[in-house]
Parts: sequence; C-alpha cells; structure tokens
Amino acid sequence: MNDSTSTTPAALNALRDHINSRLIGQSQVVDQVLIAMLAGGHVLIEGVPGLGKTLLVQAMAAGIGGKFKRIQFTPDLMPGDVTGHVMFDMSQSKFVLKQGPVFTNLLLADEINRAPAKTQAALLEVMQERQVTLDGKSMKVGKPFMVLATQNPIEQEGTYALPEAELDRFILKINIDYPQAQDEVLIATRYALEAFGGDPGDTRQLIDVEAAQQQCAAIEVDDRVAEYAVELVRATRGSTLLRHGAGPRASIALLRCAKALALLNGVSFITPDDVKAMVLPVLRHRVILAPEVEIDGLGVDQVLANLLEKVDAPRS
Amino acid sequence: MNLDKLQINACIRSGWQSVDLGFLMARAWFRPLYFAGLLAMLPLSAVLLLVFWKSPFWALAIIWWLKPFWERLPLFIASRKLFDEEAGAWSSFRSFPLKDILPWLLWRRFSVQRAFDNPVTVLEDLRGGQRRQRLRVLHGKYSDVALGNQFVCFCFELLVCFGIALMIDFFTPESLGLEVYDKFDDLTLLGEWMFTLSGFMAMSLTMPFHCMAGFALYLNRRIELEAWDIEISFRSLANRKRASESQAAGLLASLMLAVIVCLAVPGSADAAIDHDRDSAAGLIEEVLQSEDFGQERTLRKWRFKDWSEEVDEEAFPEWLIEFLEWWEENVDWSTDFSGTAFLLKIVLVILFLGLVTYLLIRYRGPLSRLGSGRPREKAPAVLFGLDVTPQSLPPDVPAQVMRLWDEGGYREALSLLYRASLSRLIDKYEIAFRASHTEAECAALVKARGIESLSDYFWQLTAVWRQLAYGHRVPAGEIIQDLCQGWTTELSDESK
Repeated sequence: MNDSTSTTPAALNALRDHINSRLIGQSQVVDQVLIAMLAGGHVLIEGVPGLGKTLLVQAMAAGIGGKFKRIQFTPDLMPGDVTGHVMFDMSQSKFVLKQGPVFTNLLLADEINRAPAKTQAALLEVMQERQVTLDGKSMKVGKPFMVLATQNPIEQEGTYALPEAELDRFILKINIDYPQAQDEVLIATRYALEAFGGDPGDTRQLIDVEAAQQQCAAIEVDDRVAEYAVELVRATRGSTLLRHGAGPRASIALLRCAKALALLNGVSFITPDDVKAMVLPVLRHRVILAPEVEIDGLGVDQVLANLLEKVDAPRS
Repeated sequence: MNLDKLQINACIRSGWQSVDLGFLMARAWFRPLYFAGLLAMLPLSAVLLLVFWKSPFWALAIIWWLKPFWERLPLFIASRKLFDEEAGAWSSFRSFPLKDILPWLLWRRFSVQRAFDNPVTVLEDLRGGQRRQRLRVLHGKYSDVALGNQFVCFCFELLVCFGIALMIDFFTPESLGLEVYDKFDDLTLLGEWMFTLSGFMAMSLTMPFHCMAGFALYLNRRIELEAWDIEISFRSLANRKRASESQAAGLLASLMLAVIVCLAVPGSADAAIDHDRDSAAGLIEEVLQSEDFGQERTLRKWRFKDWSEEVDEEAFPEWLIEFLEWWEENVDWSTDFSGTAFLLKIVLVILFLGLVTYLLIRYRGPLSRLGSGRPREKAPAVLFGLDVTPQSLPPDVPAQVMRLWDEGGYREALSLLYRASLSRLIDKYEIAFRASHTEAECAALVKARGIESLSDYFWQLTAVWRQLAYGHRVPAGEIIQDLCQGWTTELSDESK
C-alpha cells in the first residue's frame, strides 16, 4: 500500500520511538506534535498539569539534537522577558543585546494564557516570521524553530484568552488526556525510581528536521484531495452551529498537516483519509461556537464531527 | 422580537430537555438574573425584617408569599437577553413590570405552574379571557413538567435552606456562646434569624433556575406552536439567497416560501404579539379555506366511549346475574374459603391475560419485526458520485475490467472494479456507506462485517485504488489480474 519515501520514515520512526519511550501512553499526542514539526508549524497543547508536556518537549529536543527552552507565563511576564532586550553594560560602557528564551529550537510556552495580551503578542512575530526585532534590528531565531504552548482547560480564573489572530498561528491544537491505566502503572513504576520530572534521554540527532520538512513539502497532492480539504474548511463558514468559521489559513494548515501525516506513515501522496484525520486538531481552535450551541452544552469537536458528516468524500 | 438574534437553538425539545435548557440559561446569565432578583427583594425584605425583628419567620413567610413579585425582574431580563439585548439589573429595575400583580399575589399564588404561566402576564401582557385562552393553548403540553419543575425547585430550595442553616450551626464555635436552640430544643431568636436568612438566601439562589426552567418550557411551547425553527431556517435561506446576486430567481423562490410559511403557520412569531387578533383570526380562516387546507380525510381510530350517553342502569349484563346466582348457590361465604380462593384465582387469571394482551398491543411494532431482522434501509443509487446500482454494472465485471486495462484505460478499469465492489457490498452485504465516508472508513465498515477474506480483499483493492487515484501510480497488470480474480471469489454472484 505504501509508496515509501527514501530514508526519512526510518528516521521518523526512530524519533517517534525515542519520544514514546520517554513519554508513555501519549502516542497520539506525540504523532500530532511530530506532524506539526514536519509541517513547520507551532502547537497549542491543552491539558491538565502533570501529563508530561515538559518531558515531551525535552525528549523531542533531545531527539532532534536541538536546544530547548521554557518560559512559564505569568501575569507579570513582560514582552522583553520573551524576546530579549538591550541593556547598558556599565563595565563595557555600551549597550549589549540580551537574547530572550525565544532564541532556541523548541520553545515551551507553559500556560500561555496566564500572561496578558501584550506579552502573548510578543510571540506573534517570532511565530510567524521566525525572527525577532530588537532595538530596530531583526534577528533570526534558530532553525528549526517551533513553539509548543500549553494551556489549562480547567482553571480559567486570572487568565487571558488567546486572541484569534494568535490562535490562528498555531497549526494544531492538541488535547492531551490522562493515560490508560496500564500506561499509568508503567509511568508510576518507572519514574518512582528516577529523579522527579523524568529523563528526556541522551541528546543525539535522530533526524535532520529541515530535510524532513522539505521532504514533507514535496508530498504529492491530488486536486480532488485539495478541493476536499477546502470544502471541509468552507463548511465551517456556512454552519449555523458556528459563530465564526475557519479562514484560508486553515485550508493551508490542513493540507500541510495531511502531508506531514502521509510522510509519517511513509507514503508519498495524501489521501482524503489523511485530510479527515487532521480536521479536528487543525480546526478546533479556529472556529467559535454559536452561543445557542454553547448553551446546549455541545463542544467544538462534536460540532466539527457533525460537519464532517455533511461533506462528501471524494473518489477521484 | 427579532428571531435572527435568538440566543438559543430554536428546535423542538421534550419537556425535560426544555427544563435542562432553562437551567443552562440560568447558569449562562446567572449574575444578572441573580442580582436582579436580589435587587427586587432586598429593599422590601429589609423593611419587613426590621418590622418583624422579634419574629423573623413572619417576615420570611411574607417574603416567600411575594415570590411571584420578585420573579418578574429576572424573567424580564432573560427575555431581553434571549434576543441579545442589553438588560442590566438596575436599568430593568427602573422599568419593573408590575402588570396584573394583585391576582398573582392572591388566588394565583397557589398556581403550581407559576414559572410556566408567568411569561404570559409579564411578557405578553395578556389579561382576563385572552390570558385564559392563551394558557389553554400553552397548557396543551408540558403542564406536568411545569408542575414537576415547581416541585423539584421547592424541594431544592428547602434543601439549600436547611443546608445553609445547619452549616452555620455546625461551624459556629461553641466558645462564642451563641445558642441556636433553647433548653426545650425550640429555636431561639438567633436560631430563627439564622433560618430566616438561610431561607432568604435559598430563595434568591433557586429563583433564577426556577424562572428559567419555566421560561424555557414556555419558549419551547411557542417554538412548537409558532414554528420559530422553520421561520428562522427560511430567513437564513432567504438571506443566503439574497447574498448571491447571480441567483435572483432562487431568492424570489425562497422569499415566496418564507411568505407561504408565515401565512400557513398559525400565528408566526411576530404575529403572536404584533398582529391584531381579529385580523389574524380572519387570516387564519382565509388560509384554512385555501386549497391546501380544504381537503377532507377520513381517519379511523379508537376512542373512549362517550359516557355522557344515557345508560339504562337497570340493565345488568345477563352473564353477571347468572354468575352471582351460581356463586350464591355454591359458595358458603361464612365457612368455605376455597370459593374465595377460586374467585381470586379467576381475577388473577383475568388480570394476567389483560396484561399479556396489553403488552402484545403496546409492543406490536417491535414484535412484528422479530424474526424478520432489521428493516433493510433503501440502498443508495449514487454514492461518491458513482452509480452503484447493480443494473449499472456490466454482466462480467472482471472481463470488462481486463479489457479496459489492456486498452490502456487504467483509471477507468480500476474505477469500474472499485465501483462494482461498492455496489456488491451495498447490495449483497447491506453495508450502509455514507457519502462522507472516505476509502479507509469504507474499508473499516467492511472489516466490521467480520468476513476476513472479504475485508482483506477490499483493503487491498482500496490501497491500489488510492495509489492510482491520489498517487497517480499505475499498478502492475498482475495486481489487477489478482484483484479481478479476488472479485470473482469474494463479490460475484457465484461467490459464497
């Protein structure tokens, strides 16, 4: 069935196995994060604390041989704390540039919705342009660069909802849930013996991320599949269940993620199945439910699943 | 009333689903509703508590009696919020609805469906005969749910009241020396104040939920009677059509449809309030005279006997007289208990037979389907844009596929084989594919049938089809030959 690509599937599998060996019981989340990485996007991870989000990013950084930094977003965090700032060095009697934590490969923005909009917006430029402007000079951040932001779905007191413009910058929104019972037993027994927090494993480059991203971009897309992706996105705009549908950026993201999924599966073309599999994580943060639907207690995933049923799948 | 701004999903719900919606509305708008209720209650309650400071239960009783009065403001605010209008507690307080308040505090205070009936007075401003007529229509359904809502809210209010009072009692340190009960276990003045304030809090907390549940029932009944959902659908259809300039004819048609529906539905949403009732009645009469309503149909159904018919009470059934005579002759009531046992046996047998008969009639539908299996759904003729009827297939599918393949029509050949497989799966195995199913989902449905060889074959076919259709890779001729052979084995008429 698979028309395998050159060497990347083996390398991808090695990276996937490496992360899965550290982060137990979250293989679906790991796959989705890898998809976002291959598609060259950023992810927003929603889940309660203590599910191994930091370990995921650390293990991923170790697997790609990249640098990892973490910012804990708090209400008093300033934009300069994210991007960096210029300060006067008394000893040298000149202004020196202090780079912020965004100058890395993988950036974990923990509890991003705890910081006010101004600080959240500081991430916008770097997420979109992959550069930071400090003191009038633009500086490129590391390659590859990926932001993994997290937010807690339960505690909403004292948080600042992410603006739509910023949400749209995240290629995927991943919901991370509790692991299965047998996985939790494994986690408990393994990490009870190790230092608290888990070990991300040795740092070694299992994959050339930039080459994999280029390979992902080269995945073949049939016209009918592209039309299907666009139809799915457009279906969110005419629905009475949604107050606000997804924009064209969602269509682009959907196709890019479908390509990444195909690459992860070792296939050199995408099918409607790849597109459909990525609809929920790509669209769930780009649409806004109609008030009456919210009052009825329906969730975004339920509404999107309902819309999926209304779009005919192609048979090219 | 602008239905386009309706904040709830206008659809028909069951009674208890409406109550659920009401509770959701109360939760969504809790702050304005709660503070509105509190704003209405506080001034007068404070005065009453000051006047009856030595016997606060009297104040509580009066506050409780005035509940129909307090409930009006939350209802008024909810009616504004329902249509996305701004309605602050204070601004609404200044236009406090006081219509027809006296009857509500006198004889209507005993109404067990207060929250359901309140909107007719507060929002529709109907009185006297008009109100009675309106209520008769509304009470056609959901009266029992309205009664249940009132009872549940009453119980919950009691629970909250006692819960708060007991919590204060339990958590008050003894060292403070506050006595809630005296030596005879009667409440002290402090105890009375504690229960009074707990009762006040419980009333204010449950009021938004009680009001909104009744309001949601009222809304559901109006959606049902006045077809708001249909009206909204037609409005959105008309708007969409209007937006599309190139479809001017479609716009005209949808507007006409909307007009027809507005006329055909007895009393549209706006008509219920805005139209003059006499002209509305005339309009309804006119519509009923039209061709669509002028038809006559004969319906036959069971109905209860008309008991008002005169019955000759003297005429006992003959069999009953005979039975009683036989009973008198053969059974000695004073000594013979076997006769009584026999009578009981007969009664039990009759009851049992009655029960069996009732169950047979009640479940005649499902019982009739027993043995005949699940009713077969009508197979689609076109699926995924492909004609999947058996008639559309050539008599010898594999031969036709191979012929097309040899002629170089790779895509047509594989498309025919895939279409023929879908057709056979629908026709022979009754698999319910939907237009939204992708290839892998179709294959998963086939796998769910539990026939391993068929599932393996269809997976293989799907894989080859996807490679050609989306990957534009032409498979080897041997693979097609294998697939044709597999089709004969798994899906042809000769297959098992």
